[in-house]
Amino acid sequence: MGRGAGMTQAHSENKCTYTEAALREREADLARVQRIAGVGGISIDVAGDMRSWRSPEYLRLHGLPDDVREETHAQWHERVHPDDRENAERALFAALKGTGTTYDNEYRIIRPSDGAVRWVHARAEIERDETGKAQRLVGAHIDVTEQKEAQQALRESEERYRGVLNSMVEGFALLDVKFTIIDVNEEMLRLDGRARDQLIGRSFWDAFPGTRDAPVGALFIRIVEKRAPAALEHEYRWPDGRSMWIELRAYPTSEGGVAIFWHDISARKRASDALRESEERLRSAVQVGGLGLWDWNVLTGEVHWSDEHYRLQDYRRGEIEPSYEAWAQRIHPDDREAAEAAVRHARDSGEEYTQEFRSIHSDGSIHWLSGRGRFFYDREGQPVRMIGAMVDTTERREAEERQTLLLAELQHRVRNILAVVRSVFTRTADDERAISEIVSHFTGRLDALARTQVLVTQSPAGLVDLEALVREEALSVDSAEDPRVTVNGPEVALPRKEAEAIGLAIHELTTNAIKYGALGQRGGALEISWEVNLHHRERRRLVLNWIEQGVPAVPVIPSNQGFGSELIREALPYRLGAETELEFAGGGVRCRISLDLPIEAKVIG
Amino acid sequence: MSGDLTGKKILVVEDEYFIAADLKKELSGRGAVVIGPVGNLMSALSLIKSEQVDAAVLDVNLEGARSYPVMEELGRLSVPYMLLTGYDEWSLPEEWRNIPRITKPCSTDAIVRLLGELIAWHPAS
Repeated sequence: MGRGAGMTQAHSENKCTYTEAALREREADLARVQRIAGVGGISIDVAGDMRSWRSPEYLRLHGLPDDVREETHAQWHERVHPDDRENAERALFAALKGTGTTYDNEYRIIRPSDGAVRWVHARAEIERDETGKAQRLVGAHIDVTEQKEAQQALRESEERYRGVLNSMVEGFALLDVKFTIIDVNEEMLRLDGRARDQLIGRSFWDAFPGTRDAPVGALFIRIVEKRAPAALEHEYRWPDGRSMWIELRAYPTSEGGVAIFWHDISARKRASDALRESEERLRSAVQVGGLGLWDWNVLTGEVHWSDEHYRLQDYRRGEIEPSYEAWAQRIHPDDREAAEAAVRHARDSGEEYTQEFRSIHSDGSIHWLSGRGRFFYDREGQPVRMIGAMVDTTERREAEERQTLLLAELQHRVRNILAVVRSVFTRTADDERAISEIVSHFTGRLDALARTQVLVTQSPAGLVDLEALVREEALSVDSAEDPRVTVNGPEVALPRKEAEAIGLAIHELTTNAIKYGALGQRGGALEISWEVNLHHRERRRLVLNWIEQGVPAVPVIPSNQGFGSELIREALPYRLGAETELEFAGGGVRCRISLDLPIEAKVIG
Repeated sequence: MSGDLTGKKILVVEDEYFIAADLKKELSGRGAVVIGPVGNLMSALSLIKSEQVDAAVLDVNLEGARSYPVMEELGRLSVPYMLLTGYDEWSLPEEWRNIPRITKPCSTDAIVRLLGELIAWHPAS
């Protein structure tokens, strides 16, 4: 190659020797400098046949023998890595064909000495003639394999971390020491809803308004100052109104900033809120419903009771350790065996435990409890646990008993009054002759009984005002406003039994008076009066007088010797313990009924 | 089979006059000697003490009180008795549910017939 030879060509004898020596020295220095810097020199005869001349360092970099200082373009082309050949050659020719004076290229070679793949960075100057045609290329080669590998490793590492960050189910953001957002991952963008460039480079406080003065802001500032990680659950509300419960963990970075991990816990929060609410509802339901819950570990004997369970069995919390024995101890002795047998039966049969029993409180009061529960078994079928609930059924039981009692009383009364009606009918039929008279008398008596019943049931206490009773009977025969009749007496409340008997008696006397006595006469007069005498402090005696006047002397009316007089003379003494007098004297009927009023018979209203 | 009531002393405990009076009339008509009738517990118990009673008819509810003490006393003396009541079996205590019982209202005939059976069957009378 002519160029290389040219460097050592021109010299004279003496001067030549000196110049030659100096040149050789400079060449050696150049080679040395190249070696030190790892720079291979090259010169290509572009105008000629593209042969190249290479410096010793070039040969070393390219793994070539020391003595091959020249090579053809094809030899170079052969050494370039097959994947880079096309590009490397194209770049070279493009540079030469152009108008520029520099050439810069990077490509891999396969080093012939050891077959290693090396990166080569070539930089060169292109010498051109007046027409701009490239004549010569002089350049330097550096082995950049190490730098290339380091770059590659860095890129791969970055990609790896980016991949990790983006595949995380947590949002990630990186803030610098001034709280500027310098990085975010995909999940963060998804949670936030904005594009990457709307966050990167902005202050966190601006990107997330309201955070600076919130606990989360204080937390970031503290992390930057104290350089210690921290966590926080908070609800963030975006300016558009959207909100999210966020679990946030933040760490100080080596650059003095903050690394933030975000997790959307809205669903969990809602679920735990719902759970808490449902637990609260259950707790208040247990309280309101008076449910005493128990949880019995059959293996250890350990028992847990709810507050209500203590209360139902009249224990105070802390007073005793809940146990099967403590439960059994408070059960009424008469019910204990059955209650315990029911537990054993449930345990052995696997059936539900349902049992009602009485529990005795410390004040001696008895409370009905109804328990339901079931056993749980291990794989071998051994009972390990029993859970159940008790309620106080005392009120329900009492109500049931009251209802039963009421029903029985109702039956008793209805059947008794029917029996009385039956007797009254028999007597009426015995006394009277004509059917029409029987009917009229019987219906009169039945109505009198019914009227009293109405009055009794109208009063909540089952008491009947005596005057109302008298007027009701008089009214039934249009005598209530009769000027011949005077009614006079203090207010007296009669109990049911007394009212029934006296009402019927007044009815009998009234019908008799209309038919034969004072109310059947023009000049007749009837005075009904009563008084209450206090005999002792607790005994009150009612004396009722029925006095008819102005009735011409009448003989004893045979038909009325029957029911009416039997009622007054026999039934009232028998039924009420009353003393009665009944006479058909000159001037009319005189009747006097005296009886003790029960203590509880007080004045109405 | 209907027993003869002639000369038998029958205690009648019933607080309702007309029913008691009807019973008394009916029993007397059959030749029985009626003890009572009485309408309260105390009188009934004292009659049982003072009189030799062959059989008894008892109302269960006497002025709101139950006639169980009378029933116990009659049972102790082995005197046969029957109940005359407005109550159904379920509202009576279990120990009295087997006692012969007639539910009001009823005919006096039915009572007389049951009394006759009681006396005829009862070995003590």
